[in-house]
Amino acid sequence: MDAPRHERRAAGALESEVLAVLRSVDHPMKPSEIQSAVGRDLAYNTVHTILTRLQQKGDVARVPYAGRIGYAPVKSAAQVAAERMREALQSSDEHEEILQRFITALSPDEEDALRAALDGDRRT
Amino acid sequence: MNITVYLPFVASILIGLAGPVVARRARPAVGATALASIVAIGAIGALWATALLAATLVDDVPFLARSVGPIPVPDGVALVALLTLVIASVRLVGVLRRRRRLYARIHDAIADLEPVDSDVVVIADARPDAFAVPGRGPARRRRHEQRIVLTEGMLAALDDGQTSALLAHERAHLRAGHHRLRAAADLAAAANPLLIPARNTVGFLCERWADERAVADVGSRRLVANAIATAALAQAADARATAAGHQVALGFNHCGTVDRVAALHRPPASALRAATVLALVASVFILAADVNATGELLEIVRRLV
Repeated sequence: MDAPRHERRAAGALESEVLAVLRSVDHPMKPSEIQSAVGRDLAYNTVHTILTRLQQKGDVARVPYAGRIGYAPVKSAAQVAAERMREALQSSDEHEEILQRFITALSPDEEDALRAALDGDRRT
Repeated sequence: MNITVYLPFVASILIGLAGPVVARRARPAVGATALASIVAIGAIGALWATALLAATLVDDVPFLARSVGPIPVPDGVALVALLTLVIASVRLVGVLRRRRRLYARIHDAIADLEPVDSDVVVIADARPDAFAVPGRGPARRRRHEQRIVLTEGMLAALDDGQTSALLAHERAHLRAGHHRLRAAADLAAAANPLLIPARNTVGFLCERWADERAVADVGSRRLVANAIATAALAQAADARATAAGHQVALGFNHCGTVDRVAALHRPPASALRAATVLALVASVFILAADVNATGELLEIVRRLV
């Protein structure tokens, strides 16, 4: 009875592993490349099954790549926005001065002071 | 033209020195408004004085050249003033353009995101960060466009109470139009670098102002202080984990996170009339000096024609 549940959990872990591999590069990957990047002696068929499942979920897309079929991660709107935000902030030397940020970077001394303030607060 | 033409520059230095006193003692809303006004007047006054100094070159314009009696401004000083004026104009335009470009790119970045709560958008970034983005254009569109940007990392770092404190803080920035005060102070500092310390104080006071508004909203000084400290420490921890925050270069910080937390651990400051008095005195001082010097320049021009 335990075996199928275990397998399912393993499949979930493999899916996130494959997604992480795809997200770590900025180009699509062929299944064989994914297979060697994940390692762990995965069978080619297993990789294929995982990719099909991810595709059904809408997490990856099949795209033409290097004359073959490759797979690329589908980004959520929040991920696309985060990337564009990072580019926007990097394009400006003055974003620290312009933006109305909740918090800004701390020096090590300031970190100690804040930690002390939080601790003192918890104790009272 | 006597010494009065130089007084606006002296006043600029005094404004910079007075800033920290205002920051420590004044109620933030009063202090920020008063200081931003003085800074703006200081910049305009100094620019006008610089223009007057440059204008004393009129007696050297070839077809106007004629003896008008002694002008007590050496041509060297007048030339430096002219150059300063040109540099200041270039810098003013640059500040406005860079500001507009950054906000345009930020609006583009979040344009496709559906707000999760009227004006809050969450971006998939593990780095804890949060800021307010004012809308652009006419008032109605501005309210429709304004956003509070939160990263997933920030949401993960704060509990529910702390998150509402953060949202109250950022909404206070948007509601009170702090970006306008900060833009005015930025422009003033670009035109007159002597005002940079006062500009930084205006930034700090706007943060304090938003903190106090957040306190009024969530009803606890301690909760707002905890939210700030927790968020700042989470961001510092993340920066260390991702090799010194290589994604977004972080400059030094003059918005005094530690001072904000300390201020929230104290009872609220009493209103400081000194801030308003200081604003009035400095403004009158600068305006009087400018009016006096302008009169003298007019006298020179009258002798010329």
